Amino acid sequence: MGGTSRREFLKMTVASAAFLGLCGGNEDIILNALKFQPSIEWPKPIIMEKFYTTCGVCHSNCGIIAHTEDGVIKFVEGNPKDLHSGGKMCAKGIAGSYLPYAPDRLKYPMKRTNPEKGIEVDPGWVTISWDEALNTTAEKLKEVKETYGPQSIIFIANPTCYVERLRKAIGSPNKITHHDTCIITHVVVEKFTIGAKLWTYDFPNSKYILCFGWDQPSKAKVTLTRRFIEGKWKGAKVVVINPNTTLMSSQADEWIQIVPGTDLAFALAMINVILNEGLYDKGYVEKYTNFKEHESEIRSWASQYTPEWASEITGVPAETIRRIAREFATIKPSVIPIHKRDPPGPNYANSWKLVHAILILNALVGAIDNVGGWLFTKGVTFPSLDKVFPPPPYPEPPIKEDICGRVKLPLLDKVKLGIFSTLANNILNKKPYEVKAAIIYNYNILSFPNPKKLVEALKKLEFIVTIDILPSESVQMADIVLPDCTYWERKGYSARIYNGWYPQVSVFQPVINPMYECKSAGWIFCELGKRIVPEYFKKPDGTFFSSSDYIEASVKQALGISFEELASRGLWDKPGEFKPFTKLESMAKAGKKIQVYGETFKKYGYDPLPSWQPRRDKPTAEYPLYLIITRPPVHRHGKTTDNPYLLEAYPENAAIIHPETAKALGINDLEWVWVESRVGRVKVKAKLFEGIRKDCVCLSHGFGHWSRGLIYGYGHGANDGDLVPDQTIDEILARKDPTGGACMSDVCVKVYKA
Amino acid sequence: MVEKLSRRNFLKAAVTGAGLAALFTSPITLSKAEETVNSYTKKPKAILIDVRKCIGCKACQVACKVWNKLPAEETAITEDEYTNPTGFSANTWCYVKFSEVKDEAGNVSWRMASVRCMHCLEPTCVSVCPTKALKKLPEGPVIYDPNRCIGCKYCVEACPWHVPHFDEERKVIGKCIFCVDRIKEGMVPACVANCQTGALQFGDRDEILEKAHNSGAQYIYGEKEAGGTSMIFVSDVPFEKLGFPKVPYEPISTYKTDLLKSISGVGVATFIISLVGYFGVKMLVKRKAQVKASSKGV
Repeated sequence: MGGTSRREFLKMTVASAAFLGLCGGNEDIILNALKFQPSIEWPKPIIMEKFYTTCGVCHSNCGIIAHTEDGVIKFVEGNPKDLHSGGKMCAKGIAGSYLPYAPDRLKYPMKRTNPEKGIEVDPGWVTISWDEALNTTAEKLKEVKETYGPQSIIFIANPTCYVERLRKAIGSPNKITHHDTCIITHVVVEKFTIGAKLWTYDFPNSKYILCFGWDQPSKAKVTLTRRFIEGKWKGAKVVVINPNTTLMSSQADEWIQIVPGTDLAFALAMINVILNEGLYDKGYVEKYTNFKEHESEIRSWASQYTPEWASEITGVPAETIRRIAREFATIKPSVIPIHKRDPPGPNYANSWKLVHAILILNALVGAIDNVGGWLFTKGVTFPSLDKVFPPPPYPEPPIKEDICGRVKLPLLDKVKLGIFSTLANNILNKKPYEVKAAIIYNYNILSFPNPKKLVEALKKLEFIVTIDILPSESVQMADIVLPDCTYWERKGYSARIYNGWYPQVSVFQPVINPMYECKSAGWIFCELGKRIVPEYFKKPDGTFFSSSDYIEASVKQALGISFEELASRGLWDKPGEFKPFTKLESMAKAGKKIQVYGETFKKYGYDPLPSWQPRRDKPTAEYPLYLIITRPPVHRHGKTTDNPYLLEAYPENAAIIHPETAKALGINDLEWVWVESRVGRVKVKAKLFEGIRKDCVCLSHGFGHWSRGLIYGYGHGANDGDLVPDQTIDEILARKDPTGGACMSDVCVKVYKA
Repeated sequence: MVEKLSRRNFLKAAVTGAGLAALFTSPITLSKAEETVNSYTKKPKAILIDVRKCIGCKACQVACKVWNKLPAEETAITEDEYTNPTGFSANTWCYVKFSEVKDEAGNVSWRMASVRCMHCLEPTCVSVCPTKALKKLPEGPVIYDPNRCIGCKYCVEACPWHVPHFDEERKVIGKCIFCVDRIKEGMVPACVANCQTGALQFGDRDEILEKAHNSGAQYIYGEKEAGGTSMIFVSDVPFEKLGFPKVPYEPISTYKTDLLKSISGVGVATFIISLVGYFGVKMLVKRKAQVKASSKGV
C-alpha cells in the first residue's frame, strides 16, 4: 500500500545489484551519465636542468638545449634561436644523446698487451692509470724523436690548436688531415680564384637551383635543407644532375641521369652557350671578374666545348644542355651549389676543374655575393692559441718535407691540409723517409681510400697512441688508448663558418660531468705537451695553461663577454644584414677580382681555365660498372653506425643496382654479392632499384666496421673505401691536380654472386 | 491480498529496472553528453603531413623513439632500401614509409610519409576495448592505460591501419600517444618539433584542415577515413601508390559493439540469480501463506 517496507527495500537493493552486474563492473557508465569522463592522468614532464650547447655530430654544429635530471641527459631539443637550424635537429643529433651512455664507449686509458696488430685482432687491452698512459706516451714519443728525428712522428689528427702546438713544438712536418677526401677542391680553388670561402647559399631567394649532384637535403643537413625547401616552395625551379635517384632528386622539377664523372663536360658546354649567346651579366662580369682582360682567350677556349661535344661524353641530349644553360642564365637569381660528396668534391680526377667551371658559371650570371646566390662565409674570428699564449720560437724542423708529398703541391702546401690518399704507400715504401710513431685523433682509418693498405702500413710503426670516444678501428691499431670526452662533456665554442650565413657563435659546455675517466682532447694534448715540450705549453707568467684557459681568454677577446655568459646564452650573434656586393666591392677597390681566368693557377703551372679532362678510371671489360658513393640521412660516416637508434633506421649498406643489370648477372634482390675493384672487394647484399643508371652500382659510406669493440656497429655492411684506390704523389702530379684530391668515387667495379 | 502486493512490487521492480536499463543501453546518448561538455573545454588537435615536402630524414621516427624511451630494434635491409623499421610494433610508434614512384617519362623518385596512429575522431580501438584501457581525449589523442590492458588484442584486430601492436613480453599494447604529455604542456609532438622541411605541422584540427585544402596538393587522406582522423596527409601522388589502405568514411565503432561490451557473464548471472531469488522467495512466501491458511481450515 503506502511507504517502503524493509522487504521492498531489500528487493530494490537486489534488483540494483543485478543491474550493476549487468554492466560488467563498469560502474563509471553510470558516472558518465552524470558527469564528464575524467582523462587518464599522464605524468607531467619533470622540470629539469637546462643547458645550452652544440650538437657535435657534424660540422653544421646546430645549437641545442639539453635537459638533465640528476646529472643524466633526459631530453634534447634544438635551440629555436639558432639562425642556422631554426631549432630543428636531425635524426643523428637527436640520437646523439645516446652516445655518452654507449656501453662500448672508451672509459679508461688502456695499453695493448697483444703485440700482433691487424684486422679483427684482439689488442688485449689492459686498463692503466692516466699517469702511466701519459708518461708512457710522452716517453715513447721523446725516444722516437731523439732516435729518428721529429719527422718520424706523424699526426693523423684533426688539427686543433693544441694538436698543432704540439706538432710544431716537436718539429714534425707531418700534419696529416682528411681534407683530400673531403673539401680540398673547394678550399684550394676558391682560395686561388677568389681568395675567400664561399660556403653558403641564399636559397630562399633563388629562382633556379642547378645541382651537379648536390645532395645535402638527402643527408638531412638542417641548415641547408630548410633554406632549400623554402626556396623551392617559393617557386624556384630545381634541376638535379645525378646518375642515381636520391631523396634530393625526388624534389627536382627536372632530373638528368648523367654519366658519372662527366659533369665537367656539361658545365663547359654551359659556359660555351652562355658566352656565345651573350647571356652573361656584362656589368657584373666586367666589374668583379678578370674576364675582360682575358676575353679573347676565354672565348676561344670555350668555343670547343659545344653542347654536341658534351652530349657525346655525358649522354645528355645537346638540346637539353643548351636549354639548361639558357635557363640558368635567364631565370634569375640562379645558383649552382657545391658540396664535398658530389662531383665538385674531391671525388673525381676532374673535380677541381668542375669547381672552377662552376665558379665561372656562377660569376657569369652574377650569383656570387648576390641575392639568391652563392655567399661569402661570414664568421667570427677568434684569436689563435699562438696569439693568446704566444709560444717560444718553434724549432726549425730538420726535415721539412712531409711524408705525404704535400710539399710537392705548392698550392696545397699553402693551405697546409691533407693528404690521406698517399700516406700508406709512402710509409710502406719508406719514402721520403721512415716513420716510427703516430698520434691518431678524431680520425678513423676506415675513412682512408683503401684502408687495408693503411693497416699494413701502420703495422710498421713502433708506437701508436689513439685518442677517441668509441673503440674504432684507429683504436684497435693503437698501443695506448686515451678516452676522449663526447661533445656533451666538454667546453668550447663553434664559430660555425661552415654554412655560416649568419655569424652566430654556439657554445659547447659540459651538460653532464665527464663519465668514467674520460678527459677532453684539449686536456690530453696539454698534458702531453707538458711532458714532451713543456716550454710551449706555458702562459707568459710561466705556469702551464689549460685548454679551459685558452677557451675563456679567446671568447673574451673575440666576443667581449665571459665564457660563463656565453654558456648562459647559448648563442652569440654578430649583428648585420646581408648586403649584396659588399665583399666584391671591397675586393674591387683593392684591385682584386674573381679569377675566371686562373692567373694564380697559371703561375704555378696549372691549367688557368678548366679544360676538359676525363675521370681517372673508366669502365673496362674487367670492371664494367661505375661506382657511386652516397650517404644515408641518418648516418655521419662511421661515427653513427654504432648507434642502435640510427642503425635501426638504416642498418646496413647494399649494392644498389638496376634490375636489368642484376638480371644479366643472375643476381636477385637481397642476394649476397661481391663488389670488386682494382684494389679490393667487399661483400654486401644486392638491392635492385630502377632509379639508378644501368651502368652504375651505388654504395653508402660508413659501414664495414671490423672493430669487435663496437658492440652494435661491428659487422654491419661493408666499407666502400676498400674499393677506392689509394694514390701516389707521382700520379697526382702527373694529372696536374693542384688540390691533391683523393678521387673517392673515381673507380669502376664488377659485381658477381657471392 | 498477497497477489495484489506481488503485482505492485513486481511493477515497481519492472519500472525501476526498465528505467535503469534504458539509461545504460544508451551509450550514444552518453557520448553526446560528453561531446557537449567537451566542446566547451578543449579544441581537438591534428597534424598535417605533407608528403611533397618530406625529405625522408627520419628525425620524426628517431625523435619519437628517444622522447618515449622506446628501445631500438634490430633491423636488416628489406625490399625498400630505406624503410626501416618496416612497420609498427609495440616499440615502434612512428616510422617513415618510403615509396618508389614513377612519372609518365619513367623517372623514378621517392615519396615519404611519416606514419603513426591516426588518432581517429571515433576510434575503433576504443569502441572494442573491453576494459576501457583505450580512451579518446578531447584534445585528440587516443591514449591507453597499460594497467588496464588485459591483452585481448581486440584493438590490434580492429584498427584499419594495424597500428596497435602487442608486446608479448610486457603483455601490453603499444602505439603513438600523440605526445599527450608534451601537448598538455603546450609543446608540439616530438615528431613535429624536428621536422626540418615543415612537412609536419601541428595545430587545431580545423586550421590543419584549412591548410590541407589550401596546400595545392592534389590528394588528401585522413580527413574522412573511419569517420575522420587527426592525421591529415596531403600528397601529389595518389595514396594507393604510397601503400595507404582504402578505409571507408563511416566510423567503424557502432552502438552494437558498445552494447556488447557492457554485457558480461557475471552481469547476466547476477541478473538471473536475482530474478530467480526474487520470484523464488515470493513463491515460498505465498506457499507458506497457503499452507498456513489451509492448516487453519478457513
